[in-house]
Amino acid sequence: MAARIVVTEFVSLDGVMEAPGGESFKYPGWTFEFDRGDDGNQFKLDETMQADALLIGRRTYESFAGAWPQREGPFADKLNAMPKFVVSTTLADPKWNNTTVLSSGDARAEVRKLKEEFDGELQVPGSHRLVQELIESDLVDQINLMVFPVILGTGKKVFEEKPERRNLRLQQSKVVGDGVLVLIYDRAR
Amino acid sequence: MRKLKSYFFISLDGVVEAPDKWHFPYFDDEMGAAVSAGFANVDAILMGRVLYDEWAAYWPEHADEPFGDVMNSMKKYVVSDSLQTADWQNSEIVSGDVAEQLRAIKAQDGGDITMSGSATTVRWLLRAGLLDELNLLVHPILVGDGLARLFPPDEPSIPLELLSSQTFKSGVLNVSYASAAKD
Repeated sequence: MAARIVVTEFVSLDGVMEAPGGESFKYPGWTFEFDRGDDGNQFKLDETMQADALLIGRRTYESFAGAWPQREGPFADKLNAMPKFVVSTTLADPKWNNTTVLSSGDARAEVRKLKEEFDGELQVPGSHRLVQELIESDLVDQINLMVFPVILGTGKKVFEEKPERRNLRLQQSKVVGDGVLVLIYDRAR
Repeated sequence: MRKLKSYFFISLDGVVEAPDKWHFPYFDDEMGAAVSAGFANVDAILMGRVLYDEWAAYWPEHADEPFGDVMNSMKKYVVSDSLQTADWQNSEIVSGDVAEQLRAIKAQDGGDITMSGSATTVRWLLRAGLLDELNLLVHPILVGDGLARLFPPDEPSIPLELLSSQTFKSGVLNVSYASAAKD
């Protein structure tokens, strides 16, 4: 029994993943300027329905926890119901339903243990710092990218410079909405 | 109107430098066909100073290699404010009001103008709305390694339009973008 870790990100062509839905950034909510189409929305819904839990960093957690509990519908219901594992040494009193804080300070060890013990798909949206740790420690099994047709030019990137190479396998690619790419990569081990 | 088209081998993490270190395992018939298609209807190459220096030192001495003839005889436009003379056969320096000059060159009769590499020039052309196609062969690999990337941090934002997308059996993605910033 081992969990599958799936990183999922909205990115610009230059790989910027920062604040796609708002938050404080030079281009807050930049993804809303693009039409990802019904097929793009369907992809995000199907993807979320496939998750068995979220594995997220503290900043992404707080952003989600501030938005989703007040919402309804299949997307919100799923996010609100499923387990959330937050990697954080500072999050003291999480209010969002079904939240567990992984607080030892050793993110890699915590995630490695969770990956061994949890059965199902652990989805990692956003979570810039955590994603860097996961890629560095080679714990990522799949990367889902929705690539918007823009070069943002500034902001945190999903793939910061890494010392180690990672071979991937393109499992699926399609165009949704107005020139938005959906790409699914597996880690080729 | 001649089209200005740029081509890159690029990794998923955005590396374009030293493709000899990561590109070859992905070269196959489909990629060969895409590279050839990139040269269809092309009769000139545009490049920056760095690439010009590299190629002008190499190709005249290697005319008998594959592409040697083509590289030496084809028209070369070199974007540079510092280059005084360009002695490589059929080279022309583009300096001063480069945007204006490139508009004029594109308006001339002739084939399309291709680019390979010259990332800094490509980003400037995109911002200026002068690049008609940014063609990326996206390799399914995170290269890391501290190699140079196509898009360094802290640059202006550029809106794009996706022109086409194709997936090879190797997992390489062949995507083509145009600048949505209008010239």
